[in-house]
Amino acid sequence: MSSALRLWWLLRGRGSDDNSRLPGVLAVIAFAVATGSLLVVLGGLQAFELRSHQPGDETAQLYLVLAIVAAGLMVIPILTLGGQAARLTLTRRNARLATLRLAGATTGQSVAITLAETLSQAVLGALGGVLLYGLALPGLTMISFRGHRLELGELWLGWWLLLALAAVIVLAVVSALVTLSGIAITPLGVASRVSPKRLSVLRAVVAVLMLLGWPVLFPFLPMAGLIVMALGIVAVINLIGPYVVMLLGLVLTSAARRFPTLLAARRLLDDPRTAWRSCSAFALVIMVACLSSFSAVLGSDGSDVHLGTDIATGSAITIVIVSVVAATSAGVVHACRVIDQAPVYRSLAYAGTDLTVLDSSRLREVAWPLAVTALTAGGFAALLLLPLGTDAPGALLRFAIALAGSAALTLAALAASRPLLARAVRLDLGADHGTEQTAAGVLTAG
Amino acid sequence: MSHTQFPVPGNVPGVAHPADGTRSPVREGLVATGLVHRYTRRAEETPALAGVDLTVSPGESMSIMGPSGSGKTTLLHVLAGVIRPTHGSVLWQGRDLARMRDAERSRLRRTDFGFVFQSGQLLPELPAEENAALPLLLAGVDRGTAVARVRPILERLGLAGMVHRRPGELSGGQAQRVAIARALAGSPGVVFADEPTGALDSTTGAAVMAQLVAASRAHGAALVVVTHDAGVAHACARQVTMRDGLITHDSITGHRAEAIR
Repeated sequence: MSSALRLWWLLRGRGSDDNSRLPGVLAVIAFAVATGSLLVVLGGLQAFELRSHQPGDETAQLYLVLAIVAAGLMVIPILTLGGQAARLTLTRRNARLATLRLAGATTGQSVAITLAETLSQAVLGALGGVLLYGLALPGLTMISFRGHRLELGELWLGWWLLLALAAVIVLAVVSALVTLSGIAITPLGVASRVSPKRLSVLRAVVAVLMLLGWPVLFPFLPMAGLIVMALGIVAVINLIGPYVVMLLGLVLTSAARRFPTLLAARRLLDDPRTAWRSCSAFALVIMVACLSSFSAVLGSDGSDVHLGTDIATGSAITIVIVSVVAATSAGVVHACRVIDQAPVYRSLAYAGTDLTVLDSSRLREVAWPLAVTALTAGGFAALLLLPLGTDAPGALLRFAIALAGSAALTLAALAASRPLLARAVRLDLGADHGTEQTAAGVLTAG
Repeated sequence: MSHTQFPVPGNVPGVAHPADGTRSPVREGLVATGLVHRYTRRAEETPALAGVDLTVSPGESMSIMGPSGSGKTTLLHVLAGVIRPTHGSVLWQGRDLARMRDAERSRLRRTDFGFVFQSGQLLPELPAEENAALPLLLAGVDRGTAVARVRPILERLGLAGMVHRRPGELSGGQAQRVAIARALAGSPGVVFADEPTGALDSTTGAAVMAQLVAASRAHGAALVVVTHDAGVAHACARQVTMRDGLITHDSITGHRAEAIR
């Protein structure tokens, strides 16, 4: 095993070009955003926990419960991003891993090298996350709850910070191991052991059962019920979401007549879970925005002068964090896909395919699931909010702004990977006299 | 070598095909004159073509061989309008590719040329029939029509039962046959192949090469193959050898030139 680690040390950071290093950088960025977001969420939670220690202050208890609910909503997309970061570089180390196997490395050694790489990215990302958390702290102390600004001492996690970092790193290793169990590293390349399978209808059944069972269970879960509700909603959304995306892919695949639509539909059908990841956070944004609009109205009944404003502030923070996590996820996934499929994109460019055609397909792949989420979850939420139109005229507008902002951020993250695509289809980059094209596998030196 | 009968796809929008679905006769073929090309990278110039004259006749199969760095892939790219030569001209249907804008050359590659690469380069999410139909789909042909047109080609290439399989479910040889079907789908005038058997074992490679030559001939397309493999080169009717950016041997013209050292 030590020889494997020595080999990893030798190989680390070496790549023939920028494109071979970029996925590693993207993985570190994803880990950093996941860790930073997690630390900010936990810091905020700690602040409310410290404030709830005042004896007899029931409002502080209510704030703590609301903070736990918000944290519960945010933690799942954050951890999902962490897991995604761990998987990013695993499936695209094909050539190197296959070469190592060809040179006589055992499967155990290949796994050890891969894990060491993921671990190093997770540690670097986690440290970056601490930096992001540190940079965010002064900004967070500008935010007031119940008329008092959050203090640095309340937000600083101290020793808990190390525990959070360890959790992110353990998550990375577990995600890597789970992914590695699904691929076979052979001397001839890295092959996925299974073809993409259709998601089971059981997902939808379980989600519906959870929804039906909720009214029965809720009375038995008084205070903690809110927290269970938050986690339950996230679970239902994530169970049914990929299934809906798969159905969308099925419908679009059979209806598609032109190339951009066909490719986008096939990709949705191929990997609905990945497509859903951007949308799951978007669905959460819709839910939080909807709940906050209600809560802002309900909280303005005069029982507590700050409650309405504070709920709006807390919701805004939740929406921003979830949106940033969703955008990071979408950006990183699409950038890596461009790098992975650069040879195919290049071959399409050789055959005369315009960049706009490829771009249009990528846009459909992201925008359609977002649109379906907005129409279903958003439409339902908007219906709920309509009666508030007279009581709180700004509620519907704020809701619409939150939705538009979150979707725009995800689409902007997609657009950020466009230069990579443009580079992948450029045919005048040194042609057969550079190593880049040979590495991409399309051109051979001649 | 036995040559199977390959069906020829029908008309494609944007491609000047006659009513019977076949390409209009190309009398001149592809005529390259005085090709010189230099790559510039970090202010350093690397000569790749040092003065190449070459005519690819309609329907002929030609291999270009030579050691690494001899300029054979650059020549293929210049002939296919992928890159513009530093000097010289490439005439196709009376038009000079070297003078065309990028968008025009892209359109021409889409409609008049087909490409086969070393490892197929198929889209992993699309089944074989949709991968093969890509040129037609990109030309704006309706999916149903496009797939119906390429199915006979896939069947002739021995892929009848595999049209719904993804590239990941195909062997290297099968994937390369899909790539051949894709190259021929748009009824190209010329098929350019860059090491088409480079990723295959010798037996599969020979079979794939035979099918590439036969299928191109059946479609009336000229075939230009860049290869390191003498066996692959001899599957073509004409062999051209390059060294240091020059053609040093041409089996048809008997031409020999002293390579520039």
